[in-house]
Amino acid sequence: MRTVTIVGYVVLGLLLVGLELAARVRPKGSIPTLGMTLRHPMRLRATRIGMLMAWWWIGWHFFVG
Amino acid sequence: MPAGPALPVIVAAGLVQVVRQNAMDVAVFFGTALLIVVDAQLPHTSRSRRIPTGFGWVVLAALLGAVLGLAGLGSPVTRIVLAMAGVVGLVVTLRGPADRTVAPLPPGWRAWASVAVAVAVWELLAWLSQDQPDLGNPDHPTLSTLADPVLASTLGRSLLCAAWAAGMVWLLRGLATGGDPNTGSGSGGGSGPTVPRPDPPLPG
Repeated sequence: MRTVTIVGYVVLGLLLVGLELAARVRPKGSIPTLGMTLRHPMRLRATRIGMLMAWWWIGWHFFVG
Repeated sequence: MPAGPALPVIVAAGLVQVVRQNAMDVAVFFGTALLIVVDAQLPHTSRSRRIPTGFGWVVLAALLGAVLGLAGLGSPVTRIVLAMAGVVGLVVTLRGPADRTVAPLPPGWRAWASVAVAVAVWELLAWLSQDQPDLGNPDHPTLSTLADPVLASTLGRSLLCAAWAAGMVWLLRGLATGGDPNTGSGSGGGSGPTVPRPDPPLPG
């Protein structure tokens, strides 16, 4: 079961890399880059506050516990 | 009510922290939800803050990662550095511009959202398999459980800390400008041009 779980994470990670590559190979295509996708919700203040909290919390969770 | 899905998502994540019985995380998530509600009631300027950019930020992220990596997990230095990063981020965010109107993303953004949801579901399934909320299941590990051996080494910890710090630096630039890549000198890409608001009708 451990192997299946890890393979799942790897596959999902590869999908993320594949999406970024697809976006960069065809800049005018239908897939935006990750940077574009993350910047778009930043147009809203509520999302900005949420994104800051989420990233800060990830740091605290991993490096402090 | 604030626009967008941020508030319900954070409240839902906060409820997960209630199940985890982690008092600090509950306070962080519900405190953030309260901040979003209060912030939505306040007036805000539409002016973006200009953020200095360039190679200095790369050096800053590397230094931050090195300090965090060398300081050790949970050390006082790590706590202080992370707390300071949070305070700086909060100040930058709260001084940022009001809600902006921008052109919609290409439809392919749904592919990103789908993979992100799949990661969240996979992580949630792994977490639900744990006998105790804060005790990892090696047969069905969460990302935290998988990261533990990496974080145990100075090199691995420094690299992960540097990656986190680089993400925080990138985020700060977006928070200051409302995600506008044309303010400062954002590194390519963007959420599309700002859609100009229509001029008010002339009197008479």
